[in-house]
Formats: sequence, structure tokens, C-alpha cells
Amino acid sequence: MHRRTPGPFARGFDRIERGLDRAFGPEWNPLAQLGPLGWFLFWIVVVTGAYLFAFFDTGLTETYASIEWISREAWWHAGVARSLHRYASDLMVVVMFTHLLREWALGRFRGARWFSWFTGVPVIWFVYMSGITGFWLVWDRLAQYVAVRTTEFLDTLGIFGEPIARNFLSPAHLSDRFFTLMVFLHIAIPLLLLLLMWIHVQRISAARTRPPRGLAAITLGALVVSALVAPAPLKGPADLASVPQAVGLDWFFLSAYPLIERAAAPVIWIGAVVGTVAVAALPWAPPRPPRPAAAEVFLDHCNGCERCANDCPYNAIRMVPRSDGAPFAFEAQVLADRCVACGICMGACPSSSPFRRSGNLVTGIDLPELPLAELRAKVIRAADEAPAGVDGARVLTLSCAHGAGAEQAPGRVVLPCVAMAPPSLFDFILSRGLADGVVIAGCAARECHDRFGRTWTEARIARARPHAARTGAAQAAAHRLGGPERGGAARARARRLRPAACSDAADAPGATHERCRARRGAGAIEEGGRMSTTTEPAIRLALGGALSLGIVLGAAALSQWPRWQSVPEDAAIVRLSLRHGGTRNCRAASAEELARLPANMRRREICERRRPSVHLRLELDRHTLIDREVPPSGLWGTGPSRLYARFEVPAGTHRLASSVEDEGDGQRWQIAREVRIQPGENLAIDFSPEAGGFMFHEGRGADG
Amino acid sequence: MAELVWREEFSVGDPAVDHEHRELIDLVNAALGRIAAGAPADEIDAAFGDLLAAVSGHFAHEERQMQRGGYAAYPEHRADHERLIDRLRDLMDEAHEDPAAAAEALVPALEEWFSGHFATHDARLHGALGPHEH
Ligand SMILES: [Fe+2]
Ligand SMILES: [Fe+2]
Repeated sequence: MHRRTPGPFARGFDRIERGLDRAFGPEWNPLAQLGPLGWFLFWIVVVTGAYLFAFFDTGLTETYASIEWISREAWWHAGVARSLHRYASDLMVVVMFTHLLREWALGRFRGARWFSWFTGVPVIWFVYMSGITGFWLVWDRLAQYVAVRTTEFLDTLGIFGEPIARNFLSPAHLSDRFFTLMVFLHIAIPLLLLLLMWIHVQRISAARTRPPRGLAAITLGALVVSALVAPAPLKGPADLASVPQAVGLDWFFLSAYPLIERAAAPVIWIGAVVGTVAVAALPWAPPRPPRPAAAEVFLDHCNGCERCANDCPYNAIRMVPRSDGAPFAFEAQVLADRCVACGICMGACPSSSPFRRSGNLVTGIDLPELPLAELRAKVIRAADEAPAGVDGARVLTLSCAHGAGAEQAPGRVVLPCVAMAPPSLFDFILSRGLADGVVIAGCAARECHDRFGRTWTEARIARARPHAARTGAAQAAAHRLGGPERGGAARARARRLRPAACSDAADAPGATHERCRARRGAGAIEEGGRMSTTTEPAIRLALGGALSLGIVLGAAALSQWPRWQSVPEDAAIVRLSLRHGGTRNCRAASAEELARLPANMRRREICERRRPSVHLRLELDRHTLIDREVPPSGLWGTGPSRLYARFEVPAGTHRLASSVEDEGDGQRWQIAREVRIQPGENLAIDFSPEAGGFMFHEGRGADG
Repeated sequence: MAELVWREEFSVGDPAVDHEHRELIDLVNAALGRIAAGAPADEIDAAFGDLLAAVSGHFAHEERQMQRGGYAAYPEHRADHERLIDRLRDLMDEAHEDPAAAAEALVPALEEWFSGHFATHDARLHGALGPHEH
């Protein structure tokens, strides 16, 4: 029932998470808090971004100067803010992909959960766009690399009239306006990202967008320490006269750039689209496990008390006006497409009492696959088979199908979620002498498979929630489970619901697992909370803090290392830009044609609408770098021929020869020049007849 | 044996609550009737089971009404509900263990259990909820 065999990824996560349980404690386990952590990091980035904006200047030289001031003079406030801005973004990428992988591994993307999965996919792209526009704003060598490569790549789409990479052809081509545009984008895109993140959490009730305080403190602390120990890099001002040959890439945001450099643009564009669609469509991909039947409302036993709607973790129940004429205002209604059949609503319904009734055992809301009557029968059967423990006591286990006790065993009833058990069920088992004790074996304390199942169960037993188990019964159960621990019943009760430290999901040997296995034989599952939560908060802060610091420092390292050799050390770049409208072919109009035209439109010549192509040649020494027709731009070929191209050339003395021929009027321009090209130089050749034909913008060597 | 009878002063002004109170009176009377008639233990058990399920539902409903209406005496009222459920459960356990011996004591206990809460807590709800549409 409801249980899939966990795959290798799910087992892997489980193993790592159990390790982290020990360092952070289950409440602060970062792997169970990836969504909230993503939000937390987002807000750190927003706050530090707003702070940085106060010191940021836009302008060709002012931009870098302001960033340099932020990083040097103001290192202790704005500099820290800049490093936080950078590293929190890097971590956000890590958190985002881990979140994606984990939800996928745990199978939490199908059925009712498709919405969160599907809406999470565009979040990825917006995180990337937010980040990449940010790198640009620093206007250092890395920014230059990102700007040039991004624009060159975007130009391959062919949707921009003028190639945008032309803006970075040479220092003379760069304008302040580009920075204003980038600032705008770097604010607008994150705003859209926020909107998407908000949509992403709409379908679930009480979405967790804030991590526990302790984890938030640890994360922020690790970020601040990293910001002080390893400030975000600043790689010298951008200089379009030369080319960044080796760049310290931020591998979280920019790892696609080496690929963009090497692979054909269409391959990357198609790959990105296909990949995105494939990931977004995963919820509907085979194999599609059958969806369990949604919960069902029985109006005869529903008076509209709302408890099921309040407890549903998936917003799958809403209260609607009464439809059966009973004198109640509301009735519960199940939104079948959102229901995951966890049964929490059945456990919440006050009518779900398992005590014998005159008629059938019907409740207000029930699960077709495991109705209350069947649950009761299962409990009675399991109680019969429950083996006696060492002390002769028989313990009945109610266990979660997603936890350590998911396997069938004598004396055990497996539920889709432990919160499916109504509190009166514990009372029933104990007062009717079906067992001497009840163990409730939930799923992992770090995170309930059905979000609030553990919380509700604990609260119901602790009477914090209405419709709680009777005190006596709850305590009897608690004592049985808590054992002779110190701390009293309340503590024992809370403990009891902690997960088993071992999990069937993990086949790891090891002491913990063996202990669990041994206990399982006796029908009781040792709750693992005892093993993991005995860690004192101070120790958790220290252990978790150290681990987090390690992670953030690792991220800080990957944020600039290993360096990427974009252009070989002894090579330089020649960029060629062409803009010329071919002269239209015209012929003299015949007398008839002239007569047909209105008097005011009569011209002696009739010209073709489409411009002719322009022929372009570029030779380096004896090698032809380019030799082609450049067609006119525009849908109807009415615009000028435009071209932007880059060539990697070896440094040294070369003879560069270029020619442009207008295929309309046959006019020809040509140039030949001996050039000494330094390693890392950016040599730009710009052709525009309006500007006087060929313009050479010689750069300088990367070191010069 | 005196059956419980619905009285106008039981009305709290909310038709839904009143409706359930009437139903509960019927269920209490059914239980009393079975005890008086010396019905088999199973049947008495079942009558109590019916009552428990119904009264749990009713209390939940009443609590929701009180919460919605911002009823000041909600905590005390709810505490009394919990006390009543505990008491009912005790009665059920007694009846379950020894139906014959428990039967006689049960009748006054049940009456007290129900009428007591009606006369005090639920009566006070009257003004608070009042007749209004839900
Ligand atoms: Fe009441
Ligand atoms: Fe009442």
C-alpha cells in the first residue's frame, strides 16, 4: 500500500540525511529544509543586493571603481555584503538542484504533487538569469568574459536586429546605457523569480518558507565567516582591448560557458529546450504508478467541523455549502486531483471512533483503500499476532509506510501516514486490552513524508490539538514506549514519535541498523530520535556550523576555481563586424510602367525591395578566415547586411587582408595591413561605409 | 426510567447545534433503553459507540462555532467537553467490563453527564452564537 521500493538515490539521501541528523539534529537537518533554505538564501541575496545598490555606480569606469571601493575600502560592510550576495547565490544553486534531485528521488513529483514540480522548473532558469546578469554588473574581467560570451551566444538566435555582441567589439563601442539595462534586468528578473517561487508553493498548505532559527543562524554564520575568510573575487577591470584568456569561473552559475564556447549553438539551444521540457514533463512520464483513490466524504457523519480541512497538508479539502439539506452550514469536499491519500483527514475526523457501533463503522471522511472499518479489523488481527516482548508485554505497532517500519510484520499495522490513526484508536487498543502498549513509528523526524503527519500525531497525543487521545491512554502508551527514561511522560510522548533511526530504505549494515533489526523482531521499533536528538543544541550548533562552513567554503572555492582557459595563452582574438546595406538593383522604368503610377509616385527607376547581399572576405596571411555572402537582414531582406564574427589567431606578426563587395552596385572596399598581434589582444575590425569603410581598433596584449 | 427530553431552553440559537443536541438526546435515550431492557452486552457497547462517535463530532462542531464566533468562554467549554468524553469513556469501560453490575449506576451517570453540560455550558452559548446564518 502506497509504498514503492526506494531507489538507490532515495537510499543514498536517507543515508546522508541520517548522518546529518547526528550533526544538526533532525529539526535542523538541512537536507530536510531545502525549500525553506532556498527562500532564506533568496532573502539574503535580496537584502545584500539592496545594500550594494546604495554604493553601486553605473558607467564605463565608475562601475568597476565602485565595486573596487566596496571590496577594498568598505570591505568590512559593503565588501561582506558583496561576498554574501555572491556566496548565498551560489548556495542557492546548490540548494535548488539538491531539492530537485531529492524530490525526484523520493518520488514526490507525481500525481497531486505535479504542480510544485512543474512550477519549479522555470525557477531554475530565473535563478540562472538573475545570477548571470549579476556577474555582468561587476564589470571586471569575469564580467567581460560573461558579457561577450553571453551576447555572442544570444546572437546565434538571430532575433536581434543588430548583433548585441557588437556592443563589446572594442572600448570605443561600449556605452553606459548597457549598464543601465543590466541593472534593470538584475532587478526585474529576480522580482519575477520571487513571483515564480511564490507560485511554486501555492498548492500546499502552510508552505515552509522559513528554516528553523538554528539552521538559519548556522547558515548565515557560515556565510559571514566565508565572506571574511575568502572574500568574493574581483579580477581587475574589464578591458575590451584585450581578451580574458583564463577566467576563474563561478562553476555554479557559469559552468555552461565552456560548453557554449565549444559546442555548436543550435545543439545547445535545442538541448536546453528539450532538457527543460523533459524535466517539466517528468510527472507524466512512465512508469506511472496507479494513483491511490482519493479520500471520500460521508455526509451522514460530517457536520462541517473543518478538522480534516485544517489538517490536510495538501490543501485538498475545502469546506463548501451544505448540499444535503442537513441543518449545517458546511460540508467537506475533497479535491481529488490534489489528494495523495495519506489518510490524515480520516485521523482528524472526530467521527473516526473505532469503538463498536450499532451499524457499520462509518466516519465523516475515509480512505477507500483503507477505510476505518478495515483499519479496525487490521488492528485487531495484528494484536492477535503481536509477539510478547521480553517482559511479556504485547506491543502493537502503528507504523508509517514511508518509515523504518514499512514492512509488514506480526503485531504491526502499516498506515500511509501515522496521522491516519485517529487518537481514539490508541484508546481503543489499550482500553480493550488488544495490546499492552502502542508504538507509533513515524517516518524520519527530520521531515515527514506527508509534511505534517508527525506534527499532528504528536500534537493530538499531547492534547495540543482538539480531539486528542484520552490522557490516560496516551500516557499508558507513552510510558510503554518512552521506557524508563528520565523526563516524564510529556517528553516520552514527544520522543516516541521520532523516527526509527534505522530505515528499511537503507541496507547499510552498521550498529544502528543492526539494533533496529534486532528490535524489529520483537515487534517494536526503537525510535531513532533518541539516538539523534540527544545532541545538545550547543554541540549541534558547533557540528552543524562546522559542516556548513565547510560547505560554504567549498562553494566559495568553486566560485572561482578551477580556472577555465577560454583562449590559449599565446593566442589573440580578431573580431570582425560588418554593417552595410547592399545597393538595391534598379532599372529604368518603361513608359507604360510610369503611366500606371500616380503622378506623385512616378520615378525614373524601379528598385527591388530586397537588398542584394554583401560579399565579405577576411584573410590572415594565406588563410581564409571568412569568405561568404552576407544576406540582407530583416524578414523581407530590406535591412542592411550585418555580421559579427570572432576568430582565434596565434599571436605574432600577420598580414590581415579584408574586402567587402556590394553585390548591388559592385562597389568594393579593401584593406591589407601588417599587424603585430600580442597574446591576449583583442583586435577589432569594424566595417561601415558611413564611418569611412574599414576601421581597425588595435587592442593590446593581456599583460600590457 | 426517565428519558431525557428536549426542552426549549436547551436551544443555543444555532439550528445546527440544536439539531445535534436533539440527535444526542436520542442516542442517550437509546443507550438508556438498551440498559433498561437488559439488552446483550454487545448492543449496549454499540449504543455507547454510536454516542461516542456522535458526541465527538458534535463537540468538534460546537468548538468550531465557538472559535469562529470568538466565544470568550471557549477554553472552559472545551475543557468540559474533554471531561465529558473522558467520563463517557469511563462509563463505556465500566459497561464493557461488567454490563450487569454497571447498568444501574449508568443511568443517573448518563443523565448527569448530558443534562449537566446542557444546563450550564451550552446554555451560555445561547446568547453568544444567536440565530444567524452560516
Ligand atoms: Fe458543549
Ligand atoms: Fe453541545
